[in-house]
Amino acid sequence: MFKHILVPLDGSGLSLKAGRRAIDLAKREKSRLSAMMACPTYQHLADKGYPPPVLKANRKGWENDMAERARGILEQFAAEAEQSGVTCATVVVVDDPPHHAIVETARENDCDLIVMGSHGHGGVKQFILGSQTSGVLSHSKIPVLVYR
Amino acid sequence: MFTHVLTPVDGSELSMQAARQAIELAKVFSAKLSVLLVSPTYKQLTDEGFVAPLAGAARQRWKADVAERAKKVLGVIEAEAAKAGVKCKAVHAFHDSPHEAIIDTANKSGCDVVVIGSHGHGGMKQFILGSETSRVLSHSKIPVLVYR
Repeated sequence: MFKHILVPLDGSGLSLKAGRRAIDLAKREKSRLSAMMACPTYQHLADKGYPPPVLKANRKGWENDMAERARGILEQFAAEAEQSGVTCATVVVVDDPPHHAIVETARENDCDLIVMGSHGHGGVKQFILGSQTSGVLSHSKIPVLVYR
Repeated sequence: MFTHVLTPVDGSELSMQAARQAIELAKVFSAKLSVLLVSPTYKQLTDEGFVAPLAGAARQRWKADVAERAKKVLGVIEAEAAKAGVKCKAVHAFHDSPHEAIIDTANKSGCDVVVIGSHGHGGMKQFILGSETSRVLSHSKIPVLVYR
């Protein structure tokens, strides 16, 4: 039913839980898995007032650090998938906003399902759908399986 | 992984498409299927000014008409499920808040996944997540698979 499942992670517990369910599903369906992490650009975060603006020269380094951290999380997840006998590719995208990067990655890789948590790091625990999940649900052309 | 799939329909084309995917999912997982149609109560319709309040007899006729229409829509999915060899139970409920009826039914029937269209009759075609789908996503404790 599903041939290529995309799992967007952000390192939060719920995103990993959703990711593990995706491994189960991929195993059962014999589908491929792609795990991705969408890192916001420095500019995006600075615009939202998260980090103080720094010298332009530092931004690249900061983005590289983010990507490095993302790769670590993805590799750990991919190893878990491989242990279950599921092939898992990893993708790191630095782009704004994350939900856009997720929908684009799904399109570029011909995925036919996105599995994600109802909220990531940013969400209020109950009753609220995370902004990135909400964005993916609004823009995705393929089905989205939301775990909470 | 999934043992009992709930799919709410409202008769709209997208909801029927989602229900067909639910049949396929149930088949893949050898799961049971419940298909649910929620109709607003007569009181809510008059409160919102859609119909003039009628006498008791007319109200009964309205109720019978609505039930008749629901039966037709549910019957389509029941027939397709039967053809696919999926055990299917059809449920029709009167409730003013469709998402509450959906969540109640999921809880009572012990469903472990909801398969739903991104919007029903009420939604704008693109970029917008239907209000009831959005509420189901916010309140559901079980995973929700959204088709669009």
